[in-house]
Amino acid sequence: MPAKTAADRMIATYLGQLRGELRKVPQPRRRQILDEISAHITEARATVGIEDEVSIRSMLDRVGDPAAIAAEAGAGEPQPKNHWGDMLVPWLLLLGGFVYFIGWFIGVGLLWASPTWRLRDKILGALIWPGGLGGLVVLSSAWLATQSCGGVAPAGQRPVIHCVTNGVSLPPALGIPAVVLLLVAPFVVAIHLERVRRGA
Amino acid sequence: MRCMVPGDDTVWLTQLRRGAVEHCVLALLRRRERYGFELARTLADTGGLLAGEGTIYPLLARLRRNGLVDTSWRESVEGPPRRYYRLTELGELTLSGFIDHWQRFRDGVDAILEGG
Repeated sequence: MPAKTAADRMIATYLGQLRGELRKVPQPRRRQILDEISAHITEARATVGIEDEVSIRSMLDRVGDPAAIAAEAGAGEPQPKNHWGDMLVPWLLLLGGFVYFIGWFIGVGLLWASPTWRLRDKILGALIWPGGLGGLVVLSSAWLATQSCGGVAPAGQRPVIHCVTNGVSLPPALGIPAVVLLLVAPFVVAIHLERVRRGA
Repeated sequence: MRCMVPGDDTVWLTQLRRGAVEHCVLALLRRRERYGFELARTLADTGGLLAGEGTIYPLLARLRRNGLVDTSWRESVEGPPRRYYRLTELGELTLSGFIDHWQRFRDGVDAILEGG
């Protein structure tokens, strides 16, 4: 593969700016516009012939301001409604479980009712984890190992202590990563949902 | 009103272009099929009808979604295949409606500008 020239870099920068400006355009349409403009630039570059910076700059100026292209891509489209509930969804899924679980159920309801997220996002949001962080607290108190000890000390003898372990006990090498994973996953999902919302 | 700011010609120019350019694309496709680059160059070279050559692509995508043009891929001798655009029946109807209105509109504006 030949080394990248200054012209290649200028074109890559331009396409990068365009991609940024088009971020609000839905995916298949954004891809198509980028592909077509990329092909347009290839053809325009071939007709220019000269590869100096001034010629490439003026060729890119002719292609146009990325913001103007993005404005045209948004023109005549119904503006997506501002779904006020959308901004609550990641928070409700994460923390709503602490509000008698109702908050989490409201979050799931809003998530599934909103057109902002795709089916896979909705499934992800509902499954990791039911109840969010609140669910984890309940789960951990019910399932994770608890140890209770009690003892008697008959007079003049060494005390006898009995310890009972309840629930599931994992060796630390497995248990610690499992707990971290359980804790981190809902944050990752909430951040993902928030990014989808902002990109929509 | 934003469009009345003295010296700010971008807003009304954008609006004027938007209404007219779509129909100019339809008119260019009346005789034969053309591909994006060709349409962009023709419109940009004719009286600055485009804000930038690249703005033709979202516009073409819109015409296609609205059923005014149709597309097909053709091999090209110089490079990769090209997406060619052709007018649909609905596109032809829309264009002839525009031509009627445009002529009256243009004559009206001219009469006011010259006689005012």
